[in-house]
Amino acid sequence: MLRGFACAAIFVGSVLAQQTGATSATAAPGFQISGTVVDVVSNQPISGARVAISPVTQRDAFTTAVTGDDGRFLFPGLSIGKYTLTAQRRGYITQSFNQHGQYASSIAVGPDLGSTNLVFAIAPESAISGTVTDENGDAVRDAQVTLFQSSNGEGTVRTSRLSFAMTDDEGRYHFSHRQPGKYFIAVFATPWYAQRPQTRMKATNSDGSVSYFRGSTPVPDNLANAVIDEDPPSPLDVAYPLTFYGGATDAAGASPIMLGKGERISADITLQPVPAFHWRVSVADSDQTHGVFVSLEQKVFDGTPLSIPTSSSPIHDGLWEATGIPPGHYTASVYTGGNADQAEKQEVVVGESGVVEKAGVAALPLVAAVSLQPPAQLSGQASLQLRDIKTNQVFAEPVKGKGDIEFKPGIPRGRYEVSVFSTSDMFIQSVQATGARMTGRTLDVKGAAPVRLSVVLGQGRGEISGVALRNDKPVAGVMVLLVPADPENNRVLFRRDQSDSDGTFRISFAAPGRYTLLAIENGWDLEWANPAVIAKFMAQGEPLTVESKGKYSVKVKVQ
Amino acid sequence: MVRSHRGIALLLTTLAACSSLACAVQNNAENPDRLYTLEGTVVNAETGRPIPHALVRLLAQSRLAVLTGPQGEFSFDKLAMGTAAMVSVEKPGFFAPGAERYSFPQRSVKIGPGTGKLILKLEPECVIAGEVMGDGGEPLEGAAVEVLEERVISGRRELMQTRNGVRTDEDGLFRIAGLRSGRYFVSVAAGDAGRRVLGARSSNVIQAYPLVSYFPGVTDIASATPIDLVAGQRMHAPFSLAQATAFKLAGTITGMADFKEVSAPMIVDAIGHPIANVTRWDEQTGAFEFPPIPSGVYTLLVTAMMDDKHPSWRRQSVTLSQNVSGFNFALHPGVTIPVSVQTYFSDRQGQCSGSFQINQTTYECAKFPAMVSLVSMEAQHEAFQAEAENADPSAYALRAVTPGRYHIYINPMGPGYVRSARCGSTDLLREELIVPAGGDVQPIEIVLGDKDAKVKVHVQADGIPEQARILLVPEFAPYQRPTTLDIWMNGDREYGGLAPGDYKVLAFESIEGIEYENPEALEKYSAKTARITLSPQGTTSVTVQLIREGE
Repeated sequence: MLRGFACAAIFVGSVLAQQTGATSATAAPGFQISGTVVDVVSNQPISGARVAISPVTQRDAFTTAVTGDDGRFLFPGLSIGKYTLTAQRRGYITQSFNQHGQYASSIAVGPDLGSTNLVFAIAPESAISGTVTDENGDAVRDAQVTLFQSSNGEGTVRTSRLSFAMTDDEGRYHFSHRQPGKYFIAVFATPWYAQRPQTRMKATNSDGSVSYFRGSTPVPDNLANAVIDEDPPSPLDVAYPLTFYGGATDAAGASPIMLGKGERISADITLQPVPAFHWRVSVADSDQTHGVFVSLEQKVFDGTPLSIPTSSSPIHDGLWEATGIPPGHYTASVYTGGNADQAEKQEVVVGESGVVEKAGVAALPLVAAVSLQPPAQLSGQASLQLRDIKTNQVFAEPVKGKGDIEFKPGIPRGRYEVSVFSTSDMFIQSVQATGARMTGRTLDVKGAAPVRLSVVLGQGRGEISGVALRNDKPVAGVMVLLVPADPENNRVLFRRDQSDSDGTFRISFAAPGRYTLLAIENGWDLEWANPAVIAKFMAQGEPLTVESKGKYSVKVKVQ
Repeated sequence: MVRSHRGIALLLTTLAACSSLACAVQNNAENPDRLYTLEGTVVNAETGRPIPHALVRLLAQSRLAVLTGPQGEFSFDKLAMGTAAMVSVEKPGFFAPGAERYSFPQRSVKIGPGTGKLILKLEPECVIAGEVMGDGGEPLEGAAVEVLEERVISGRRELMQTRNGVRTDEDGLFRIAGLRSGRYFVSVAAGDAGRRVLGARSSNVIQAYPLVSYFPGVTDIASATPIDLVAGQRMHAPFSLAQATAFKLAGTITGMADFKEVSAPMIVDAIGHPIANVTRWDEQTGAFEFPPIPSGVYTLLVTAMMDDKHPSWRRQSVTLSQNVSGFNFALHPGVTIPVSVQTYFSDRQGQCSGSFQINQTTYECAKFPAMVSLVSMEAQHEAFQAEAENADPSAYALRAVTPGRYHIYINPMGPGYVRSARCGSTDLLREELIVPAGGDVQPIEIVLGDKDAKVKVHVQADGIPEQARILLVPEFAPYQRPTTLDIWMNGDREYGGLAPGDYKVLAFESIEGIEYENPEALEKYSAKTARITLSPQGTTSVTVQLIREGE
């Protein structure tokens, strides 16, 4: 089943009086859930773990128990139904029974259902900490440390930003409550001692004296001979490039940190300064009140943008200078007039040749005409979403009025999944595009032409329930995967669930269409979004055609 | 550049091995065309050890900056003689003595022939670290730890939060760095750390950690143990918290109709810091509820706005030993106290022509010869200023004054001194003003006079004139702020506009950290305190001995 609540939601209420103790079993009528909480690494029972159940129909009605020395828990007197089972213990990840990401197995309680003597294995938390030092071995304070994780979220392994920390006075950072897995660390800091030579205008007056000025002041007539004047270069005009654990300054060379269950890994990073670059930006219509703000973004791993702080100051009217830029490949945004939407974006390569300005980053205009079949009022009920398949960046626009919407300030070239987010059970019936290629639910924006989408929505998605069977026996904890036709171009139509203790599962909100339903044991690490990975399972899957508002009951073979 | 300056010491320090101004460099025959080198060492003020990789900056012909070498050494080459250069030094983890007083402490150095090298000192920062344990000795994660620093601000001792608080990590550990030497109090608030437990809401017995605990484990700051840190000290402050039965506190604020805006109530500690916020607040009905709180006596604070500009503060105490669900927090619309300022000027020269502004209204000094304010003796920031609608002198009044105890501050805007300030039978120059709840307060009557006195102060140390900060303490008006004056190089200053009467006169090298509004704190300087009596229209001369910093 899908865990329909965030972890935070179960940390409610105050410390409870223990309603049930592990050893206080009484001969209550009804059924039981019982078992032992064990450490998944050592397999040893865990005492003092707080275990809670709640009916799946009433997820905030918790009954709790605390395990004794034998790790056992018991919930007697239960009526027939399904219950979530969750455990909490300091030093362990708070988790539900047999949890995989956002899925877990509920415990079905009733005649002939095995809800006793469960082994509830929970994983100890892991942590990554370390020290950031500078080229002199001194601690770097206030360094910005970003934690990335490579994980299989939606059928593809991606490396994405997970958390952020600042170093303390000893240069230490700490990421706690981590799951085991593959991680990367990136550090950005500015040398505390960095000096930025200033640039100004210098003019010789008629009496031979020299005047200096800077900022927005227009050059006075009698100072028409003004020239740019710079402080002498300083050896302390340096910057730290974005630096990954392992010492690399590009993501491709970053050393992964393999974090085991319950491990506490130390990952120290040393920063090496490099000469900093200055970038002069001509700004035609600089707004005196708001000034000019230059922001640099470096894309790392699978397109995660990391912002590199710079400071910019005016040299004279229309010319600004950003300083302290480490070498790198950036998307630069130049904001004028204080409006965050009005940035000019362009690619900038900073390196041996100085600051080289590349082509501007085009944002292609994108408009969509959205309608509902059968026709009905759309406003406020839905938003159209485009997710960049490579970077995971999401562009969303609420559907208003008659359904004519515009994505501002447009979208960059790329491959996007098109979907609808709706509070009233809508799905995409069809999409047609001009100016770009639409295949299934995938939009390929390659050209320079404006893109126009024509989207027809329907209402009332299908619901599939069923049981995963091997040799006619239900199997708990398997991954149930609803695979759309042409999976390559319809990734957004995949649906998943995990079978409960009685082998049953339920998939709500399946958009109408042709599918194959799979049940895969130990399938949680599969990159199922890749058609080649699931191809071998397809023959034994259950074909299924989902219609609007259709309800289906399916038996699926566990592979 | 988005760089935090947290913990970076800006600052230069003392020029130990130099005479105060002529400090430089190579001891050679004077030659105006010769170029000089400025050399020196940066050392730890506590240990005397050299500090490598400290940044020394010199603003001379141009801006120069170097990092010190392994032995803390630095040098600037090719400096022209006679250049007046400003030197500063900084390094993360260190402060400059004096950095407190100046936003950019630096010292002037004259380049030329001279002897010796610069010795620049940096004071190492202090750190308070510790751990917070909860029930069963288990580490408490996410508890909020704060430090309050005791500081003397404008002659008054105050507790202030000079560093951001931190939260404990999963092992219950915390660490607060970047602290100067001084006196600190450390507090811990478990917040919802004790409530983040898997379970149900529907329990009858609710437990909670104390709203706030001060080191070493008390719930009121009055019985807390101060932590006195010397430069460079690392202090360990462990906490052990226990949950106790907690109670519900809910009720209603009544009387809100008299105010434009009323804040949600907060529970504040003895120094006015919020320690608990409401979980429910209805600004229409005034209904509020706090999260469960252990038994104890608490102060509720509400900020009520009469209009957009005039806040007032209401406190009410509540004793919690069982669930309280109908607590009534009654707001009364404060007290209006008329203020009249009379001038008793013998000639027209005393007339005033200037003006001042309060809340965008201009007050002609001829009609309003003094600014008048009341400052709460319980919380310094709770102050009321006399204002007059349409700048009509007959409407001059202190409005919506919360019941409490106050000092009055009177600031003559033109010539003249405060001859008297009374409220009924209360002499406000010698007594505090008590504003009763719901009661009437007599008008405040202030008289300014123009037969003021002058004082001529001469400061010396060991017979040599010195510069100093002078403190003039009127003994006849203990609740008026003492007058402070700067005396520059020649050691002399004449100053008028003073009320005739008896004064104590003190001369400080630095008044920073001197609790001069507290008469008891000045007693230790009695040997160097001069006593004078100023007479109307007279000039009294006095010589005072300089009190050195740290004396």
